[in-house]
This record gives sequence, structure tokens and C-alpha cells, in this order.
Amino acid sequence: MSMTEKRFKEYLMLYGTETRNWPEALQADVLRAKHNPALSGLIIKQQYFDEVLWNNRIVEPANPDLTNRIIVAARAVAKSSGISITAWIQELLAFVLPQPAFALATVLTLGIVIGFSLPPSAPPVDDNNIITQAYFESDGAML
Amino acid sequence: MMTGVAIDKSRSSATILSLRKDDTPHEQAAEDDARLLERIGKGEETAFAILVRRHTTRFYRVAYRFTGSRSEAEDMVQEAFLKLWEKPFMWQVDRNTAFTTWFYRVVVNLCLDYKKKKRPSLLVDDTWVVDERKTQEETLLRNEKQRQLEAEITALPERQRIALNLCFYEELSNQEAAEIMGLRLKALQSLLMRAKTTLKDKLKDAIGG
Repeated sequence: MSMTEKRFKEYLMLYGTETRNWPEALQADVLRAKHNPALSGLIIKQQYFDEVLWNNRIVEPANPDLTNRIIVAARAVAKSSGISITAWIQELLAFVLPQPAFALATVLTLGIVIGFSLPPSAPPVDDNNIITQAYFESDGAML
Repeated sequence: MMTGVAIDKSRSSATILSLRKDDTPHEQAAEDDARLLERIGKGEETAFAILVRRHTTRFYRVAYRFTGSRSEAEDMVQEAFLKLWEKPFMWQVDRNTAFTTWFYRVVVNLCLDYKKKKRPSLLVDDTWVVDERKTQEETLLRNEKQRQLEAEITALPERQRIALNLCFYEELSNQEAAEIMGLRLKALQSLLMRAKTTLKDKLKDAIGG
């Protein structure tokens, strides 16, 4: 088999026997092949093979009620209306971590956030107390 | 748009190679789908219903050819559409991908997940769709051919099988099938070639050389 025939056979498998389904650059080759006995024989063989593939593979029809079933099922499903970053993060975390670990991580995160957002816990500073204390301390030292 | 087995069977040998593309102009359908998806994003059930009615048969066929089971194919299509209903923003117009291309990808991924969960048996189901107009002998012969072809297709590696389903049975262009499968064109063509070569070799007796 010459290279041309081999290549032509490959193209037949890829694009079928209908000229318009071939890339434009190759369509002239199909037209020429129809006048070449060897190549036109390949086209006939390919047509027959395609028919065998097509005619012997039957799809059992779907239940006629399938579309209604899908529509009814959709009514029962909660719908999200747009991209929610928080929902996406929650979903990602829930996917990666098992539920108890996710709960623990959430509690820890909340604790850290609350801890950093509160003011320091030292008692308020009273300026008068400091001055009085300093006075007595220095007084005592003099005595 | 072709629907179900009746159309599959009615496709004569004379027309088989002339009906290579969808009847609906691709661009127009894509535009309509985009508008429907916008409405679905706003929660419009009617838009969802239109989209489901428009595309269920097409995606059911893909799932059926992969699973070989009506109930499983139906469940798969339902799951895909419910995912879309829940998160319509998953498909974005600005990505410049037709809705059908993207949704084929969703269904193909569900098919691949299905394969992981359940390894399909190489033994083909004994129930066949019988054409009652044929004689008993013709029917038997036809059933035998169906059985043989189905067994050989089932035995193909899954990516080859998907490539064959998309390019040959769904009549998508090689470029579109490559996009759906996330492959380069050359890789898709290689899968398709290998699938058809294998089938040709295995079915040599059935097709007479």
C-alpha cells in the first residue's frame, strides 16, 4: 500500500466519507480519490464499516417522563444564585476535612479572631494612684 | 434534532453520511442556551425546563452509550442537570465555550466517575431492542451483530470509547470532541483512529473483510 493510500485511509477514519466534513485543505484529495479506483474502493469499504457501526448500535429510548422527572427533582433542590466565596470556602473545607476536624478548625479560628479583636485585659491605669504611691515610697525611703 | 432510537434506526445508509451536523445552527442554539442560563441564574424554573427538554435526549444518548443501562444513563443525566440547576454560574458565557460543549464535558466526567465506582462487565446484557418488522432469522442475526459490536466497543479503553461516541455517534467535530475531553486535537484523533482500527480488526468477519 502506498503512503498516499495509507494516509487517505487514516483521513477516512478521522473525517468520514462525506467531503464537507474534511478540512478544506484536504477536500480536493477526496474529490480526486473518487476517480481513483483504489481510493474509491477504500471509500466504499469505509462507508460499509460506518454503516455497521451505526446500524448495529441501538440506544434504548429514555423514559418519556425523564425530562419531567428532572424538572420536578430540581424544585426540591436548594439553588445558589451566584458565586459565594464563603460558600466556596466552606465547601472546600468540608470536602478536605472530616466534619469533626472542620468543627474544631472553625472553633479555633473563631477563638483566634475574637482573641485578637478584644482590648488587652490589664486594669485601667489610674494616674493619681501612681503619683501617690511614688510619693509614699520616696517618703519612706527618706525616713 | 434527532431523538431516541426511532431516529437512529430510521437513518438509512443513503443519508447516514449526509447528516453530519445538528439541524439547529450551532451559533444560534448556543446563544439561546446562554440566555436561558442567565434566566436560570435568576432562578427561573421555566428556563430550566426549556433547557432540560431541549437537551435531555442528546446527553442521555451519550450516557447510555457509555453505561449500556437505561436507568443509569437517566440517573446520570438527571444528576448533571441538577448540578447545573444548583450552580448555574458554573458555566460562564465569557469563557467562549458553547453550553453544549461544556455540558458534554460534565456528562463525560460523570461517565468516567461511574467507571471508577463500577467496573462494567464485559458480558453484554441479553436484552436487545428488537425490530418487530423483521423475520425471526433476521432478528437473530441482527441481535448477534449488536451483541458482538457492543462487546467490542465495551472492551475499548474508556477514552477511545468516549472519543468514538462523541465523534462518530454524536457527530461532533474532532475539534469539539477534543475540547470536551480536554485534549489536543492530535491526541483526540489518535484515540479515534485506534478505536476504529481496533473495531475494524475485531469485526472483520462481521463486516466481510
